[in-house]
Amino acid sequence: MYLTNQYARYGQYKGGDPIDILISNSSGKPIYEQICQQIKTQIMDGTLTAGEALPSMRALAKELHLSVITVQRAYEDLTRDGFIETVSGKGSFVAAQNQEFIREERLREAEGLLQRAAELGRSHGIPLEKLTGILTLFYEEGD
Amino acid sequence: MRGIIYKDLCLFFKGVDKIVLLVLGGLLILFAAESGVYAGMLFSFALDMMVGLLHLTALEKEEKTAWGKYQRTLPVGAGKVVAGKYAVVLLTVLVSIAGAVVSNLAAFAFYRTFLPEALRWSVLVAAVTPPVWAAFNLPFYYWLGSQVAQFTCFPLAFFFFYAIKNFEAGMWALSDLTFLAENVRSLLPLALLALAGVFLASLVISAAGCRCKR
Amino acid sequence: MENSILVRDLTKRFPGFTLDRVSFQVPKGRIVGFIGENGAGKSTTIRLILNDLKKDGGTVELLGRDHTDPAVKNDLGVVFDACNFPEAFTPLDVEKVLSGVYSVWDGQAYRGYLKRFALPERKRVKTFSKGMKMKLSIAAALAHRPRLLILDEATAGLDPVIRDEILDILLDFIQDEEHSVFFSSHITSDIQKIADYVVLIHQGKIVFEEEKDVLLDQYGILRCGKGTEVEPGDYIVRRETGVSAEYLVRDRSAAGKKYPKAVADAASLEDIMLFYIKGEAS
Repeated sequence: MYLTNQYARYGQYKGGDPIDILISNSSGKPIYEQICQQIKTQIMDGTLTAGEALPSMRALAKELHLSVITVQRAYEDLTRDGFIETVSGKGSFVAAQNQEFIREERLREAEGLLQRAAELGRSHGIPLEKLTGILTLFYEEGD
Repeated sequence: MRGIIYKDLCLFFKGVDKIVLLVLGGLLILFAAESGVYAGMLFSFALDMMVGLLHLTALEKEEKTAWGKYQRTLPVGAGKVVAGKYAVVLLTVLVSIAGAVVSNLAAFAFYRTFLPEALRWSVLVAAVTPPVWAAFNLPFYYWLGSQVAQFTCFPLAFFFFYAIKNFEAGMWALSDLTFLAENVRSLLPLALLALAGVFLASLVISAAGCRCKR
Repeated sequence: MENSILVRDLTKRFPGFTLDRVSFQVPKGRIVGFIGENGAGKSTTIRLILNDLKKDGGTVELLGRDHTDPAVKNDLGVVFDACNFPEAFTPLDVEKVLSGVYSVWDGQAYRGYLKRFALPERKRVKTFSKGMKMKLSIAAALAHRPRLLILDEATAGLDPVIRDEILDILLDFIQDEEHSVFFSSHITSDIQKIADYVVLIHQGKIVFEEEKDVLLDQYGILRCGKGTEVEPGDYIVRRETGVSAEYLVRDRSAAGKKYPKAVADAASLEDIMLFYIKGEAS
């Protein structure tokens, strides 16, 4: 691999503030997933606000030295999951709709999974600390 | 096509380097020392040869950097490429004629003698040499490359050297020149027509060679 | 017009070498890298595409028109591995020649490139370094506003800094979705950096035409001890080293799961190319 990390600080496109995307070539995850994940995170924690313009796919591809197809895939996933909207001729923007709602959804999903883990633990005698430890491990290793 | 003509002219004129000027300078001195007022005429012959040589070195320079390979990616066909080269050869006739006039007049002024026949011969040879050179050599270049074309220009060079040598040996006395001139005058229009025909035929052959050579 | 370049069954026979039914495409707005070892047929393919060499069979379309159509050349920018301008020319001479040949010439853009690349306008090409010559060729190729750029080993012999600059220029060129780049190189790291698709040619045949992301994200090398048997359907090419066997696989995560005792690694473009060239197919 020619680089183990690529850090892009992109600040020259029209409209909007610089957007930080950190790509690692050595993590197991496909690059388009990494982009997707990072933009999602920034939308959900408010770094990127509703209506804000994202860099054009081509511009971002150039800055990160990636194939346009990669960025396109990431943007498509983001659009499909409701995080961004693409207006042809104008570009991509952070979706105005309910990020609160999205966050609630994800929280509910996580709660459901944790509930199942807790039930499993209880019925099979796995101590709570062990479960908590495993959760912490996964949370920190994830990314 | 205007770009191609510029390319050929540029290569031609940029071929005039220190060596060329040195050789011409040396010849000038030689002629002036040995041939008196005819130095003007002889020098103009040398200039005509130099024009032919410059065209040849221009071709060599083109080949050196594989310009032809790049040229074939340009929106200009083989016909125009070759026509441009031939057009520039005709344009350089102006250079050789100007050279003939200037060198003769200079000689005349220096020796305070006016020899109209010398001037006429110089101008005639100056007008005829580049087209003849092109008609003969360019098809070889377009079909067989500049290495071969360099050999084929030797016959022409020999002819010139022979003419100059013999002149210096005294064979070309003034009377001879006038005598020849009277004969040539009647044949001139026909000769020029024949030359034009050969020139155009050469262009067609060259264009075919340029197209085939891929 | 979907494709800037469309090649179908392109064939050319030489004594001792045949370019055999080569087919691939360069979609609009994309960069396609063309890789292969020296002598595999890259330059021959490009010459055939440019109609610099007469093809024996097949069709080639450039920007929607047949490649023999001379008008296509106005929209085409070509950069070869050496600078073809006569040594006595200056960048201004180049401008005078090309502006008198192309139907469109953006003089302002050209002089802008000269400034950006720090190329002196009135100095002869003879005095330029290899990198400067290449930048001049690129400036000339871009200034007539082509829609398609074809580069044939244009970065060969240049240092990494200049190569990076050139790759950046190509990425800039692609910002317009109507533009495409076809870029042949044996420096696979360059292709790996900017290509959207990669086409591998070997001994006159196209071995694959694949998305670069797929090659880097999904393809991989499976390394097993001699004991493990890998089914022919699971790998593309196999190579034996002294102690182990290596397999090029199309899906390394699946292969890793199926053969837990083996090691499944990511593969660089160079690895993939070497595998295809040196290994045995399944």
